[in-house]
Amino acid sequence: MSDTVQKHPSEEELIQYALGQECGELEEHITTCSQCYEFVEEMRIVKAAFSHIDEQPVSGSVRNKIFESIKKDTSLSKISHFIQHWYTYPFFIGLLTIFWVLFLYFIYIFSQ
Amino acid sequence: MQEKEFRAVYNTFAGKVYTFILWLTQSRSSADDILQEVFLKVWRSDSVPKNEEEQLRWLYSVARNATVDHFRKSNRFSKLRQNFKHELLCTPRESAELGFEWEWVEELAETEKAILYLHLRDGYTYREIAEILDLKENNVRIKAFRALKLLRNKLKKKEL
Repeated sequence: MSDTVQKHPSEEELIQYALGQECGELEEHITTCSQCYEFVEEMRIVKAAFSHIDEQPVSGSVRNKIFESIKKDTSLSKISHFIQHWYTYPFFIGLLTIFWVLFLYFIYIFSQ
Repeated sequence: MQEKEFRAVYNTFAGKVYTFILWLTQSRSSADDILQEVFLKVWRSDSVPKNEEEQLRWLYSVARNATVDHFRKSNRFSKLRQNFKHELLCTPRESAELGFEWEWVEELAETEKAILYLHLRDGYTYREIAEILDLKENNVRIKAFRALKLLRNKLKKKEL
């Protein structure tokens, strides 16, 4: 390899080449220029290091907490949905009507 | 979201999202808390993408925002981080053989760390990272370049 090659690619181009985003034209220069070759190899080491980051398991207790919290959230949202839309539940409307009728009936009875 | 759908998203992506959060926070207890927040948001959201690739990008975006919020709220965050090393996330022997020191990553800004993780580990393009992190593509490119150059310089110094 020789260092006599005058026109070096920019560092950004070398990085892109090292990370496999651009090939072709730079290849010839890199194989003949020790300086650029070294740069590319160092970038490849950085890339390789990141590929060794392993996926971490989520602990069972965290998983349980997550599923408990969504269950709680479900029941809370059901209650808040009922409070906001109670008038759309036919069963509840029927029950309320019966109570009103009974209430008015007892008022009428006791007022006699 | 239906519970069945939620379970599928959790089972497929929880580990990936957790690793990303852990990478950013360097604290297992914070990562546990943030993961819970993220999946609660998933549960409550009506806008979870259907496609798996988009789901992961969306989850990374939610996770990153939740992490930033956590950073803002928690004062004890920096103390926790001092006890955690990046190499705990890696296969130690292989990283050591490469000559790469994970402590160099500590010198990077949070966004740079996120960019390098998504680009070098997960293979996302700068455009995709820009979408995930809500940045401009050119900004991502510049930050990635700066971070990579810093790590490369560290490696070069070590070799000398």
